[in-house]
Amino acid sequence: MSPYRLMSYGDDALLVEFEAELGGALPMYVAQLRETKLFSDVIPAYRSITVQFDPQSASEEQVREVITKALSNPIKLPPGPLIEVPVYYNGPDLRSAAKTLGLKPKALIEAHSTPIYDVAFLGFLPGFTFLSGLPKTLALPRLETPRLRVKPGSVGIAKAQTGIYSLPSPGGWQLLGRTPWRLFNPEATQPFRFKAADRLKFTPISKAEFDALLEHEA
Amino acid sequence: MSSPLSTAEVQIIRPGLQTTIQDFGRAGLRHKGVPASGAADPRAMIRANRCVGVEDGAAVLEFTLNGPTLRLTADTGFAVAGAPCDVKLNGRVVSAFKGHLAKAGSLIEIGRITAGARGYIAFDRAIAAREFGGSKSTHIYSGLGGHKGRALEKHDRIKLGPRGGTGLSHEDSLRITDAQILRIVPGPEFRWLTEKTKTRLTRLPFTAGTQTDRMGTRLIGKTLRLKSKTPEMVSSALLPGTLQLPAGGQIVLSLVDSHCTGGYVRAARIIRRDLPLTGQIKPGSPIWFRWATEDDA
Repeated sequence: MSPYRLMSYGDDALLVEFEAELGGALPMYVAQLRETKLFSDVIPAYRSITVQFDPQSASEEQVREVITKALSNPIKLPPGPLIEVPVYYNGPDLRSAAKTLGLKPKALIEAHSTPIYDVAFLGFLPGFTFLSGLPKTLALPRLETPRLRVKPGSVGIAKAQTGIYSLPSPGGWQLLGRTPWRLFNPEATQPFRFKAADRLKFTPISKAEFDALLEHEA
Repeated sequence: MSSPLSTAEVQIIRPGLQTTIQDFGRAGLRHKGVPASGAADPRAMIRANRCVGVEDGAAVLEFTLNGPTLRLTADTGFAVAGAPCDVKLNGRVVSAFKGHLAKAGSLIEIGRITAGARGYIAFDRAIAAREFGGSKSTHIYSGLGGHKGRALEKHDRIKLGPRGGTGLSHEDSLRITDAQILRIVPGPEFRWLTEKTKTRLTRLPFTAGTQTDRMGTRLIGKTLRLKSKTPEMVSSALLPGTLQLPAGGQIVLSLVDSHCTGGYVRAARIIRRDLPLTGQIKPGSPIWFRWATEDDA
């Protein structure tokens, strides 16, 4: 595994920061940390896992020991399901992003929809899906001025990250397209469409297909 | 003759600046991108609930700076606790931190808060609201919980359950002030602050800016700097009470409704015991940070 450092993040949380991205292995460490039952939350990100604990019931020293032990013994998980996600590649930044990368829009769409991505974690807002596996050649800077409102389902790139907005929100990612799928539905028995360790592949679709599949309210 | 249960409700005559339904919040879902939310000052919520004899974490109405005017359609025990403000029952001033009986048709008027930012109205009837993750707390940003996932508006009618609770009583009041002294410990990226900034953090005053809400507050103060070789941040967990330091050099303090991940340097974090104090920060509040000692935890 990647070397890591353990840092305190307040009096009730610790942060494990890895030197490199763990990709598909991240959920295995998360699962093992959850298994300890010591934490009120285990929050993964690309290169880190944050755990929250109750300082009344365990000291930071004890928690550090538990983490070290858990990380040396990740739970083996089978690969998650492969989900083909329809995307209408007509985002407001598609053309400028292609230009920045020196590609034709069509080539950018192909390059973005070819890899199989791992769902690294959900974060930011409910259901926002952060993926790992973006080809390094597709990295793009964040917008200098973030948009005030990004439509739910928008698929974008920010630096070396690609991901999907789940809710209408402000955002600075460069938007290539939009999936008609709703990623977060609080009323459903399964409110989250994706979970960490799922594998996603984007399938380009037409405007007509997008309209036919549309699940968003706006 | 008791009125049928279906008619027990709170009618919003005037919503106040921002009134939402809150309880202890939905902890443990940050890995799904769902912040805990919950009462910004849980100490005050607990006291309001105790005054009407219900569970500490029963859902309440949280009001901000300027309180709401409500009408109750059925006999209901209620109490107000939190930041100091006028509370009137049918035009007569009544004490905060004390349970009162409001007869059917009563009008409750909450005035302007004179110090701090938030207060709580508890009832001895359960508030009907959307639930998610075991909590009725409103998270406006994602439309979760509460009344239609938003702050209360004029003409809203919120259903109440049957009367319960162990009876009306009173609680000691909280001393709530505009100025806040918040104890902190170094955050994961503390080492990237310049030496001068490390010193300034606890020696200089800050002021809460106009952009202050349940998500967070932008503080105004002397510019704080990061070392020039600070590496670029990758998205990572963001917890409430974090002093984030963007390149601009002004602290952004994350609060109960904040995003679950962020990309700014996490310079320091407020200790757990002092988090409830952040619920009383309003625009213009003077804020001092000081390092927590072992005894503070």
